[in-house]
Amino acid sequence: MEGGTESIACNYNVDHLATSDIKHNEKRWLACGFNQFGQLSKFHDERIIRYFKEIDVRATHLISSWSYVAAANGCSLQIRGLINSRTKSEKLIKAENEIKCLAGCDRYCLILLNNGTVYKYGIQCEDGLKEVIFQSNESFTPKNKSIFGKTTSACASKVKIEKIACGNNIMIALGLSNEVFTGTTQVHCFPKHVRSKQLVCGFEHALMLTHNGDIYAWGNGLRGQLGLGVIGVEEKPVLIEAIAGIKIICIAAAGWHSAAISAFGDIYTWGFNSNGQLGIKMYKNCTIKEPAIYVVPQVVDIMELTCCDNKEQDCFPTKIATGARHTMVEMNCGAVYAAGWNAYGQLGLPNNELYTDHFQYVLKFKNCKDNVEIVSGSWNTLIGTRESSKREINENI
Amino acid sequence: MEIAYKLINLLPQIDEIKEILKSNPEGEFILKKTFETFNGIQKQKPSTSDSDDGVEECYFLVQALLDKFWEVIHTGHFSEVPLDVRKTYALASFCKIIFLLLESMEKSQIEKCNEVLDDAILLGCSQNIFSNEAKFMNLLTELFDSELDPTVDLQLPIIEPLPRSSVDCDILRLDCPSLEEFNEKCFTPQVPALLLNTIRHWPALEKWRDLNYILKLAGNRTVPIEIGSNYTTDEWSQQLMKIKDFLKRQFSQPKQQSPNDDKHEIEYLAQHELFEQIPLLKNDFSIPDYCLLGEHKEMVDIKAWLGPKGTISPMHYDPKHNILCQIFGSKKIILASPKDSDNLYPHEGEFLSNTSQINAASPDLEKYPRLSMVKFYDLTLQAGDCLYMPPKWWHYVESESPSFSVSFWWE
Repeated sequence: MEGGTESIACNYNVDHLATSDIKHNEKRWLACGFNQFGQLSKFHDERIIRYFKEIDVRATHLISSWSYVAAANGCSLQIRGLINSRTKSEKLIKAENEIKCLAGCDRYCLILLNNGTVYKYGIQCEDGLKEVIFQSNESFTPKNKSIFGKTTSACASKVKIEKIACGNNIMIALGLSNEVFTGTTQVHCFPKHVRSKQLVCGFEHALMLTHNGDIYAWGNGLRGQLGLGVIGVEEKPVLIEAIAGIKIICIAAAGWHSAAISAFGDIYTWGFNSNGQLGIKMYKNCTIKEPAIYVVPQVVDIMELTCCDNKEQDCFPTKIATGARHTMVEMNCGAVYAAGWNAYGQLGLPNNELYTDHFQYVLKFKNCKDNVEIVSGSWNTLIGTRESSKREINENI
Repeated sequence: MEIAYKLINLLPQIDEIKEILKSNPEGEFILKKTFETFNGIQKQKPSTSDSDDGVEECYFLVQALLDKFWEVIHTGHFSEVPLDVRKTYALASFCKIIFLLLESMEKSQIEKCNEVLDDAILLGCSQNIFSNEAKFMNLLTELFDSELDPTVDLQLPIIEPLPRSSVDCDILRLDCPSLEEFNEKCFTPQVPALLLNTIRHWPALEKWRDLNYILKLAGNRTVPIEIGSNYTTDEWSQQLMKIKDFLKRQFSQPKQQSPNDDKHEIEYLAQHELFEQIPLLKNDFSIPDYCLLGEHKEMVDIKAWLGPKGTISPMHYDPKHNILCQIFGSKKIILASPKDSDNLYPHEGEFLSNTSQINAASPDLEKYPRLSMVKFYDLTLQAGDCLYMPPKWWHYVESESPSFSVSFWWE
């Protein structure tokens, strides 16, 4: 029974799904976690969706903040949740160009279009869409000498944006020529040979992964989230020396912590372990806590590898995603593991534990493992699959 | 239950807190709904199942708001967190207390309320929110005092006064100097001094030796405690805990030494503004007159330092004038002048740059050769003594016995 319409596990609420109209590139989404404002699904009335359920969203890009979810499909954007002080509200936005990427925080959602322009939509105010203009700062661009020896400083011009990311206290954009913006101020420019693979933000810090596997960190590192070995603030991207030389293939940040996966399949986490989100134990004994802040990347093992019965099979992590206080890891076999805060069901674990400070097995996608995308929101986890997916429930728990 | 209704009556109207909520629509949405629900159940007690649903949903919402704002308050520098956010946090905490009391009045529940209130005070900002807030707080404090007496379950020792030892003191010693004398000999020329017999009249010197007195007034309150003897080591950490648990572990006799817990870690209530939290303790001492000298004499930071023998504050300096008053126990103190800063090997990086890497109690001259050029001043601070340290004077402090000190910082 590979693929097929029957393949969605029976405990989904699938009544409302029109299974025939899935277009190419669209994903179906499973979700769990905080749903008080109806942001995950208007068809599920629960305030908390404890275990993954399919939700009525078809989107190529999706982000989840505390009070809303934004889903992009082609040129259209749907935002729902608490909008203008009304719960279960929906807002539809049409863009002039295809949406390339979304980023969001409590107050606003950033929309990057294929043509390199960025719009900002304020969630709790009526003033709608506004374009965000990023202007280059000439001090970062090499000056061309004119034939008369004068420097022709090209006046600040609007920059086309390639990647965006934001958190409650930070907004980052990367221009097509490697310009780095914090807010709309250019703070840096990477050399041409540096190619960005991923750009992510926590509440107040930013990470960029390059194609050759290095991570740069900047922003507020008051809880160790920069991974630079000290507690401090960096205005400009700084290479994380501790893991430079190890090829990193995927990074994530959302709250006060950061996470990465290496090409060898090692998980690294650093930053604030307030709820076990680093996958590192929190308590020394029943009353005394371990230190909660880790200022350099820590290698974290999945202690109980229970995803595959076949012990011969070599399961290793391939992707990582983070929410405000949790971390989700996807394995090469299609299994998903989780660590961190679970008070709002954000890990999708079938138990009601408030947190787990070691990675626990959650679920597994058998047929479409290459097409799975995990998006961890603030207190949610959403999993997008390109085809209808068969899921295996862990009966052991 | 009755008390929950009394508390509801004291809550503000939503209009009174409108300004606070203006910049956080989620908070406004949730608190508005909660206040409406409170008004509803106030009118139609005993509660109907309809209102129960509303109560349940609002409780969930208030908890979500607290969890969310906990994240906001812990992002960035605490001093830069908008006051409105912290006030909203306090308001939501007050609502949570009411929900808890509506649910049950059992002791464990009241203990929970006490914790929520401390959270509101420590993380939130519980002042200047609404007109009835003092009444609201008093009602709660009365409830906690009558229902939760920590001295029922725990007996603590009375710390015996140490015989006064006549040890060397390398700095100026003044016997209860007048304000003029202090100004002339210490404050103006920036000279550290041991001040004798200036706090003899403080009731704290007698009262606080009886740890049960502190337990009774403060036992249920949550405070930040430093774990590990020294804040520059990797093992050091800080966490919030109740004073009674801290006192029990560090002072009750005999020290519980269960086999699993042979590594008895030193815990230190350090640099905490305890007296803002428990104003009753303020009646037992007064701000030294010497703090009147200075430009901001109305802004004196008062901090409590309570711990067992062996707590260490490594060599560091603070930016303000400092009078350290010893209530009980004794402390070994080593001072160095700001002139010697370059030879004291401060840590690199933003956060520990006021702290030296050296162990002042046994300086390693091979590792830190420039220490040989530093003039160190040794002294012992005994109960009833005060030490004046001008701004930026380096100091190392180690408790030689169970010890309680109060420090006054001013500019």
